[in-house]
Amino acid sequence: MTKLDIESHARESRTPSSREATRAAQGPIGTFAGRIVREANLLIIPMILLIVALSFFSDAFFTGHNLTNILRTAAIFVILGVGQTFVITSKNIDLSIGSMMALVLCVTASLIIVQDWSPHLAVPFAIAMGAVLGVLNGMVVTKLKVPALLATLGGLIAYRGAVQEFMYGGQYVGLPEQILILGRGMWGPVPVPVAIAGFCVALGWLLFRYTRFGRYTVAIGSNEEAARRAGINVDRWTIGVFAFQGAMVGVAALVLMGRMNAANPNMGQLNELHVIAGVVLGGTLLFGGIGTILGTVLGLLFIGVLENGLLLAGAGFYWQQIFLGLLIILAVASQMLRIKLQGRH
Amino acid sequence: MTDQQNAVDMSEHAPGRLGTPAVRTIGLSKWYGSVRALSEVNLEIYPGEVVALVGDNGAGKSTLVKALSGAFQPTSGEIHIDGAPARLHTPADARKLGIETVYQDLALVAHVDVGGNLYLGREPTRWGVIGRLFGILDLPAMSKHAERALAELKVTIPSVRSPVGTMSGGQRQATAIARTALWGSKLLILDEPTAALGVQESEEALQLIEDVAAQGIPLIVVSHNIEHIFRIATRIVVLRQGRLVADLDRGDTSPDEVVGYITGARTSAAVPADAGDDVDTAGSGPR
Ligand SMILES: Nc1ncnc2c1ncn2[C@@H]1O[C@H](COP(=O)(O)OP(=O)(O)OP(=O)(O)O)[C@@H](O)[C@H]1O
Ligand SMILES: [Mg+2]
Repeated sequence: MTKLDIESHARESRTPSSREATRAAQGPIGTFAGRIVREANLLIIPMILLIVALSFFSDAFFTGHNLTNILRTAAIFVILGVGQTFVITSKNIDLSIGSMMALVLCVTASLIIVQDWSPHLAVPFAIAMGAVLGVLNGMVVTKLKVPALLATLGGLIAYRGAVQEFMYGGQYVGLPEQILILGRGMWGPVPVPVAIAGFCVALGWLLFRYTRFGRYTVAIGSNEEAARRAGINVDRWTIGVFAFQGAMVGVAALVLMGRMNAANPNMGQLNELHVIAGVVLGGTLLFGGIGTILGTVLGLLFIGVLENGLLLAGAGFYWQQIFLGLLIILAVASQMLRIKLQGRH
Repeated sequence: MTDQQNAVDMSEHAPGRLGTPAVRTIGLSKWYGSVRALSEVNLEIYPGEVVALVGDNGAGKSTLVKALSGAFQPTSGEIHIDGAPARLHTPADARKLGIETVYQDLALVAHVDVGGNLYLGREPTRWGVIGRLFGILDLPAMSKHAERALAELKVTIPSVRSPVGTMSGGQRQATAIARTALWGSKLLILDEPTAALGVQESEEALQLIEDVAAQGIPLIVVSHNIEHIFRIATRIVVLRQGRLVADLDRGDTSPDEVVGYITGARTSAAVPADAGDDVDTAGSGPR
């Protein structure tokens, strides 16, 4: 339970009946664990089973080194996933994030390496550049009325083309210490990328639950016309959602740059699908209106553990792709089933 | 309360309608291309009135309602609020002036809870300037005020924290009506509030409308259900082919007469084709 929740419970003087109804609506356990179970669409159960199975079959799995590695890899996807959760909840989708990340990464790296920019300047630059590209996506969706699927498919291709053109087939290697820390450093016992992802998750969670931004994201995804009639500037908030996703892309680009110690125009390919699979698997509704940041974290950890398990089992990259493809289908199919079972969502 | 209101209305020149009308339309017309949907409509609505707006399909009811709620601008004519001309260019303008509308399709957000729907688009924030800057919602206040507002209207809902999508049609309608009552101060407009409801739910909605009316804010209710109209309305206004063809006091007319005006079997000499601003005489015409 967060401080906010405790406060709201203490300050509200509800009637017993309504309090009971609320508790019933929240499920048997109103605890943090209960919330995770609820929000994450019961994903936690297959995940625990998977972890148990893996630790049985592989000695390499349950080592500190391997687990840290899973978290480090997942961190970048989680950062992207926080943004994508908002996008999908608003009944949009952003397919451009993988390409966009490569573009932001390479432009930022060239500023540092070629233009001698200080990393202290490069960090806000990368986040701002991501946000601006996000605004661009949002403008195409809201002002040109291009459905997000196609608008960001265009972005996926165009941003990739742009970064290839920009790098001209080459790559940068060797970035300053301050950037490397973002991808490789430790913050006490916690890897810095994991701490950054944790910060992004906390930010996303608070925004989603406790601010207008989150509320309007849900409202627009659930019933855009009703949101508009209620006086909500739908276009502006939708652009804001894409901008937020873009800013998260900027953060992820910095972490990836530090982790790879390089800038290469082929980075981030297929990342958008990995992220979307995790978000949907986590319980965010592909048709808008329902989103869960914690579910996204679990969904992406699940995929991370699964891929790690495949790796330990000796399956190569192509097998991982096959599994990712199947997972996306599974995630959407499970949502369709859920909608069918619940009647209304 | 409503009975007393009628007693007053039925007396000679309806003293209840003296003073400045809360809302007044003057020569309101709307053309859709070459189709005239509204023609020179003059209507005055006073505090405490429940005006039923009736007419056949395509008579112009929704058009009139949309003009009043700022969904579009009329081709010609004016809308006055409290005696002053009002600019209603967008629904937001109308809401700022205290005109609230429940649309036929409700316009609630299924995935947001009842409290959140009551406050949608005008959520209170907390923690002062910082809260306003970041839009930090005052969720406890929203729930608390929503609970109070619903209790005042005797609306029973399991919890203001449950999403609207999990509720029955009647509860949703109640939520929508409660939202207008919470924010509207000049005029509440309900477009077909009972059309999609069962018998029991209609009953609850009518009860709710009576409770809202008792607060003294004028209401316009669009409905095809003559029985419901005679139950809640203090005044019945009939539109036909875009014209206001009758303006009747409830206690002074009968269902047959109203139906006659709706179908065109009956016409009123007292309402000339290009009616002046003398709407009250129109009401006394058929007497
Ligand atoms: N957007 C539009 N474009 C063109 N004509 C329209 C439009 N909206 C309404 N009309 C026409 O204006 C006239 C009045 O329509 P309106 O919707 O106001 O009727 P109504 O009284 O609300 O009918 P109903 O009982 O069926 O809801 C009709 O002839 C209709 O065809
Ligand atoms: Mg209509």
